[in-house]
Amino acid sequence: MSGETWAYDGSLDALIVLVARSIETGSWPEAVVVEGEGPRNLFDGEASVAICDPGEGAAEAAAATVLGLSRRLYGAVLRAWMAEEGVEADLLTVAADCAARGEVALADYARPSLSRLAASVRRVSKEIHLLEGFARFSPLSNGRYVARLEPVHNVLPALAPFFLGRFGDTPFALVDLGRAYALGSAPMPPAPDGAGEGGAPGGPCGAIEAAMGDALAALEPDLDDSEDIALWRSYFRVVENKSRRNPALQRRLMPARYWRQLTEMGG
Amino acid sequence: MELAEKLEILAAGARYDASCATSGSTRQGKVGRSLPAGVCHSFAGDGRCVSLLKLLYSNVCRFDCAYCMNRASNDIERTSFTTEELVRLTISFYKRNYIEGLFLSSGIFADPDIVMERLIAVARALRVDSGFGGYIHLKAIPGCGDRLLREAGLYADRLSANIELPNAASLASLAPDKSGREILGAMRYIGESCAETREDRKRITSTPGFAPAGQSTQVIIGATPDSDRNILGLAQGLYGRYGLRRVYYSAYLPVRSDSRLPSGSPPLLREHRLYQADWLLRFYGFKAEEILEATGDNLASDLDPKSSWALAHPDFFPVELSRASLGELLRVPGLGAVSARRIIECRRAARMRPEDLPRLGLVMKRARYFITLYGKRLAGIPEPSELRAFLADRPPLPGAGTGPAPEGGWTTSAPGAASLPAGAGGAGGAGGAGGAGGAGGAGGAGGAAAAAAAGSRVGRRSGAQAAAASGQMEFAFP
Repeated sequence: MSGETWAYDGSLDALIVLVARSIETGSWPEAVVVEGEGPRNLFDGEASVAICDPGEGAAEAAAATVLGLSRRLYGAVLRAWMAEEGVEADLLTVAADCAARGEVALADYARPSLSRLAASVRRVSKEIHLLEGFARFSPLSNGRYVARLEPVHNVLPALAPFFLGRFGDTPFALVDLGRAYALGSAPMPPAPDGAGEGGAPGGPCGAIEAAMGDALAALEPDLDDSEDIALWRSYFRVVENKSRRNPALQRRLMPARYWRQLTEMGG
Repeated sequence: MELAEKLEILAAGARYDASCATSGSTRQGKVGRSLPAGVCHSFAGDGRCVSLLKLLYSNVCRFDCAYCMNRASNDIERTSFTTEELVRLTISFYKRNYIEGLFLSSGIFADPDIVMERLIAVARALRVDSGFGGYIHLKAIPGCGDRLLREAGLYADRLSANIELPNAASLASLAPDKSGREILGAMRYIGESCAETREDRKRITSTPGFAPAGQSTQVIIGATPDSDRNILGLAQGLYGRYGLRRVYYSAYLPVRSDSRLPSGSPPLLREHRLYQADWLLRFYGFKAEEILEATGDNLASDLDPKSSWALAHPDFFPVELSRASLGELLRVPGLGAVSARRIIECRRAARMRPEDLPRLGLVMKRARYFITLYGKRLAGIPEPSELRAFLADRPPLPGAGTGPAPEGGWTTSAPGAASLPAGAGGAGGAGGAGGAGGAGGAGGAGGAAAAAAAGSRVGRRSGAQAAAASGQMEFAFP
């Protein structure tokens, strides 16, 4: 434990650079702050390490370092970043431990840092799995199917490839209402000023693109699909066996926080 | 008749089939795909998973099975879908992510070959005409020709023929039109075809697939006085001999008054215990005879089957966590497959301490009486009667207990097909158990290529690095 505070800009690239640093130096901070999420500023000098906009080359090299040590650790980095639960310090502790002891460190659940990290990763994995089933899509007049979600964690980057395989040739988009951005099959609606980030058309990520800001308006529902919605609601009502009624089990398996997006629950 | 009306009638007719699995297949289509891990899309008010559009092709039926709402003598409205209607519903619901695929059964409205041909026509239209890659579960209509079963297996991910009742006498009493020999014959053909296809594909990878998610069946619980020994013996035989992936147990729900049938609430607790026992057969290395050794012909209602076995085998315990094998850990009440694997993983990493066990996610309520850690007990040993009380679980479900045991059962032990009645206990067939662990976990979610994203944090991420991350998402903690 170095007793230091490290900082990053909240991007996955920057987090991976921090993880690579822990691996290479064998050190880890006492706390990690994210720009814009605390009272401190990245550039106020408090943080002994601050990573902001590391650049493609640095991010690629860092990713290679993490993957070279452990693909499993790399998966944990991705999910810890999606979690947005402030487990970065635990992640860096585990990364340094993994560098020192090898992958066996990722099974040492007795360590509180790994225990907290693993719990966070599991929560993210669970939400990804739930939303693979609970996302509900509606068609737009241009043929694109759009799901409007309010996930607890920032899981769209994991869901988009899943639905890309599921939809095949059919265009789709996932909108994160809380975080105000969307991911979907290319080409996504461009922002009015033409500025794109990340997976802009023609970018290296190919089939998945992002949209945000005013571009999200193009993903608003514009079609009356009440007939199919009514058919589904009718089906859902009929398949219940009344003599086995068990609403507590239903709530446990289908948490109420997702009901607003579920067609069959009135969403 | 309007499509909405047909949907209500033919969904109501299919809702008593418990099968909902969508796992075990890998297929990519123009529209949709199937994945090894299943996805649940919703949960009905009865708490059951809704993952497949579960429908009858037709509820017109020649058969008069006493327990079935679609029986010939029941005065209900009759109708049938067209192939086009079923394709439209399936594709539309699939694209909205309401479902993972189609489960299609039917009343026996004509000769079995004709019924099977209609079901195949729907599957063919989905696969060939619409390029549908989602999951398809088709009923195998007993008595149809092998050629049709072969064709059904080319399009379907899973086939199933419901055995319904565990012995010949029960079937003759309640479903006189059904032939146990034909049901088991269909199972045998499907099982052999699956096995042959697996072997052929090892040599010639382009061999067309045959029902890659295998076959399942369903047994009705509580409609007849058949014992749990009959039922589990049958299940074990089916797993061992015909390679079934799942046996579903469905508590009998009274649909009309009939002197041959019980009345009252469905035996949900008994159904629950049978599923627990079935899990032990498939994933925990138990045999049906072991599970029932301590309780006679029926499972205990106040204890889960593993706890029952543990109470009857004090000599097996305590299990030492620091060196027990996976098989030994799996016999400890309260320890599941995930917990057992975590223990093994963790003890390789460091010397475990008692206070670490909850951090592994272990639920110690039952396990603590049956384990030691470096020779030390984790709880005092109560008197046997007290221990039983500690292990007893509150019935999680309403429902009745078990019925008396009858005689006989299907035997699957005869080579070839399906001899019916057979005297002894129904535990025919080879040992069950085995099976791969893996409770279809939190599926992978593929590449972070998607993280080419925008949004608060996402926007600062470079596309190239996202592509580098692609395919890594599944490396998470168990």
